Amino acid sequence: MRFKTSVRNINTFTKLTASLSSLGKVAWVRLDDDNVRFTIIPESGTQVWASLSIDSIFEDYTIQSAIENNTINLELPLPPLHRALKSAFNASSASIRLTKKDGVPVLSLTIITNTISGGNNATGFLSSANDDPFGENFREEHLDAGGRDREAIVTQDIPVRVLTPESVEGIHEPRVREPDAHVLLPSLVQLKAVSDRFTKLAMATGNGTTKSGAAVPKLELRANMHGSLKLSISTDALNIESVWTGLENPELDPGQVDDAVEEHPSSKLRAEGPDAWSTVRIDGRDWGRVLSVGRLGGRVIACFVNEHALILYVYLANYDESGEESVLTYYISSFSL
Amino acid sequence: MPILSFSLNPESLGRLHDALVCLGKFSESVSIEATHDKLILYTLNSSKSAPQGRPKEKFNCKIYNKALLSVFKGRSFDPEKETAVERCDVVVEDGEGKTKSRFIIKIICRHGVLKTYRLTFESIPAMHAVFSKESANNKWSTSSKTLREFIEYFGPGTEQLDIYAEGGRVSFTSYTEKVMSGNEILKQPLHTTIAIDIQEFADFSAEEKLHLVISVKDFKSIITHAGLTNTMVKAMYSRPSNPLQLSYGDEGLLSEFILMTIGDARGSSAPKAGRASSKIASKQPLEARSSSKRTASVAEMGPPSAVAPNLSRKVSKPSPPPPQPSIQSNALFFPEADDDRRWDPVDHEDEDDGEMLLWDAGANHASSGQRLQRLESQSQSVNSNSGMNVQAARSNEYEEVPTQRLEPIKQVAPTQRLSEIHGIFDD
Repeated sequence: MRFKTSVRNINTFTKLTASLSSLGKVAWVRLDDDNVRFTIIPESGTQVWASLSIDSIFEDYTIQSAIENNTINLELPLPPLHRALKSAFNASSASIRLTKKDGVPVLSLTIITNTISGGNNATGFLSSANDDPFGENFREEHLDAGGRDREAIVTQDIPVRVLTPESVEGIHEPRVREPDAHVLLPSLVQLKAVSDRFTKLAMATGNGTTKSGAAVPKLELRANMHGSLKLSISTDALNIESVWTGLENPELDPGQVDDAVEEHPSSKLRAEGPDAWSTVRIDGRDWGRVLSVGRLGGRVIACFVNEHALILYVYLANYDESGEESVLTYYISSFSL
Repeated sequence: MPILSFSLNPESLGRLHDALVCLGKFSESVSIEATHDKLILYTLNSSKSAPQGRPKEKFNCKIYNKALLSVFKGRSFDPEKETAVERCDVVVEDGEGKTKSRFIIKIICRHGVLKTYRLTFESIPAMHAVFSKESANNKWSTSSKTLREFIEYFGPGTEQLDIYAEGGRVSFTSYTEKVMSGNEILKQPLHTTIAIDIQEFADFSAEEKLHLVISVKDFKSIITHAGLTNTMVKAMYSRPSNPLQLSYGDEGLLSEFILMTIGDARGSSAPKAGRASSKIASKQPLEARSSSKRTASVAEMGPPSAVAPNLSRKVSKPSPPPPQPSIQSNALFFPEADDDRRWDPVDHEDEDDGEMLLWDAGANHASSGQRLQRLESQSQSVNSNSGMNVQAARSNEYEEVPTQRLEPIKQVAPTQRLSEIHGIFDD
């Protein structure tokens, strides 16, 4: 079993782990010849199935295993991975390999970084500070950029568990019926700010049992097939609603649907006009964690399965046009009234 | 009759505060030792390994560090600020006859506001850690900024830091010896190694292939303090399971830390330090001492009523502005880091303390800073320049200014806390 790769895009990878780790602390990672998949299935809350093309985060990717398609399954704690990647922010290069240290499997991240201040810099300052002929005692500083950079090699070992293929056999992506409405979400910064605000207000004006969690009012999200999205929350004390209009309802790809496009539930909802809505109720705090994916800057399509579930597809910009698409899929269950 | 008195200018006060914060990470009390030209702050961690008494001809006392810190906490040392501290006078009186034994700190702020704090102290003989420079034949030194960057890489949860040199490279490894198994293995903290070329060091003359192990937490505390200024951190040591001294100085302030190292537990290069002894050492590892030596540099202030004869006060040139913390220079390079934070989920649990602050909590809840300002300007006009004595200031700060009492009817502020919403029929 061998896995070794360079990290092409440290920034994207760091943002990805930041977004994923807000939903769960441990991910199942499946690496193979074709792509990299991160799956998070928390005990409660939203599931994420993130499938990334290898090119989007890695290059010089080598993988070997006895399993079909050279698959390696890992159980990986996200906070240490995120922490390790963060320390690569200034790195000139970073690479990852699967190895064993003291008999324990680890993902070893090797970072070559330039230290901002070289070790000899301070000497110059100390010797010259006190004999400034002008008596002004200017503190001399070195320009941080330039040829004085020195290299440090940082190795961060993240503990992992290598999973047998049998142990992951039974885990499948959720199956959901065809959605009633699909809409391209507005700017996630905006959506997150409004949602967080609504949840906060509802918690503050709730009946005082907000700490228990179960009593937190749910956010109601509704979409029609005429470019509108409604976000609302109501408690005994308040009822607020925000409406976005002029959004895009992407056309269905006939190749992707089982039945004829006209027979699809979304086509029926469109025919019913702008007053026909598909509704889901979700936990505001969980939704806030989901929306943290906005930092990756992808295109987000929300699919509404009325009173049942909300599925978000987050499409990431591809490294090159030809490559396979990278998409993060979020499965959010709707609460019943 | 005070047995000790000295004054600090705002800049020194800021550095005194930084030093106290650092020492506070090692012990809850701080000892103060004063001679005619030195003020030494030091602390011993609770294990007090290898202490040594000294002849008692200097002033010595021990104070609860949190009490000292709370005196300086949140004070603005920035001379531009309205509430800035102008000077700090310290007088120690000892209990002969009627005088109480107190450590008295007077903070003189702008507009003649004077705050006096009287702290209790314990008079005890000095206890210092021993470090023999003669036997410390291994030495290296490097920039505090470089080390400051390194400690950023160490993740939470690790306990030990191993410093090891081999083949022209020096590595700093943070790790834990706790062995986890099964599912727990994923909770193992990050194991971090930073390897740098010996060229990185301003000077390096130390034996190679020695594993020098200290506590990662202590190293972080020290380097966080050292990294506040751009200076050289010097390390001196002899062998594993003997003390390591880290020292650095900057403009009259010298800081020294003596840390017990754990014997070589991993390699075979130091056979004398067996595994058993290293375990014992790791339980009582550390000593920390920071001594600060400063000269009072407030030229224009009048001498305190009774200056202790043994404190010579030198007038020095104004010092350059305090160096900027490294975070600022980082900000130049990490423009996106902060921006990314807006994507973090809002932690509703933390903020929710049962009451929600709306856009303005109303005039009665103006922050203490604003209130203080108002109080100060008030006292300025009433007392002109005579100054106002605020004893144990905090309770007074919140007292209503008289002019605001003219209106006895409870006013409803434009916005208010939810708990204060007053129905019109409630009165």
